Amino acid sequence: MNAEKANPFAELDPLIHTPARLNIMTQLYVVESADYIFLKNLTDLTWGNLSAHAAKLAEAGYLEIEKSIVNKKTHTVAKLTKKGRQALETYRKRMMELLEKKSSG
Amino acid sequence: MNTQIDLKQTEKASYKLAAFGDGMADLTLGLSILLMGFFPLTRKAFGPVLNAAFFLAAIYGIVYLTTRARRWLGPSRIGIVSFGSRVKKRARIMSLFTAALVALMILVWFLSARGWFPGSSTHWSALLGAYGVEFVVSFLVLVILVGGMAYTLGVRRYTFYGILLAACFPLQVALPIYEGTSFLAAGGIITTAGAVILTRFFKQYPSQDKRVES
Repeated sequence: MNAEKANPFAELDPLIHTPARLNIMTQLYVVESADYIFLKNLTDLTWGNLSAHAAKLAEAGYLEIEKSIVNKKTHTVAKLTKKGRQALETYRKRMMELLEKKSSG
Repeated sequence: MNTQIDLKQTEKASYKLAAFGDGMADLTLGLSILLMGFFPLTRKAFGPVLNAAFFLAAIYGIVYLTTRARRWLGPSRIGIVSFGSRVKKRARIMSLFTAALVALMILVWFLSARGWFPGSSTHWSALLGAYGVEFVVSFLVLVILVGGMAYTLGVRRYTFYGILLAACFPLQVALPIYEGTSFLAAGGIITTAGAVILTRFFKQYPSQDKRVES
């Protein structure tokens, strides 16, 4: 509790708080699903980074990842789960509150 | 951080990339306007009935080719995205609106070609010169569609296209030059813009066919 008072941002979900993962979550929040090419273009991450961060989010149950083979190549589609959507909404709400608190006092 | 949690902007950016990133929409519009620049010539050459058929077929051809090109280019360069129900609903409303306007356009072309449009001969030609009512209706349909796109999607260049198109007709009436000139100029500008966007798209989004997804 003391640590939270000293650093209120510590209350934020650390899994989403990383810029790359926040970017992936935000991009997926506004769509139903997107493949890795689309996500890579919008997040500017490398294939390795995108894959690693998406795997971490999937491990936490925030993302659903579907792999298929199209024209002998792996085609990966990612989708935000209900849990992931709720986690981002909570993160966003909390962040807004903290920023408002900071700016008002 | 703020930009990453601005969901409305993120949604718009995703939609803009998926729908307008490759410049195909600009090319479709530009080529259609360019075609309209030849309207007075073809009307004289083909007559109203054949001209109506020619124009509808040519516009369909442009839309068909650019749609095929987009389907061929898009998945390997910008990827595949499926939008949520809110965007899908908005797209459906826009498609219905577009379909209604296009149906109105076809109806006017049909009526005009058959000579059934009220007062279509002397009255309209005194007012519109070599352009028929069908041309003016098609032009208004394009201006409404382009203006609507610029307003709802916030694609800034479409506001410019809307102004350019809206200026065409009065300019054409005011200037003593070949009747298709302003449309050839506007179509040329929009087609060039589309070609520039397409070239940039090739550079910015190389084909990911040789990618290694882990």
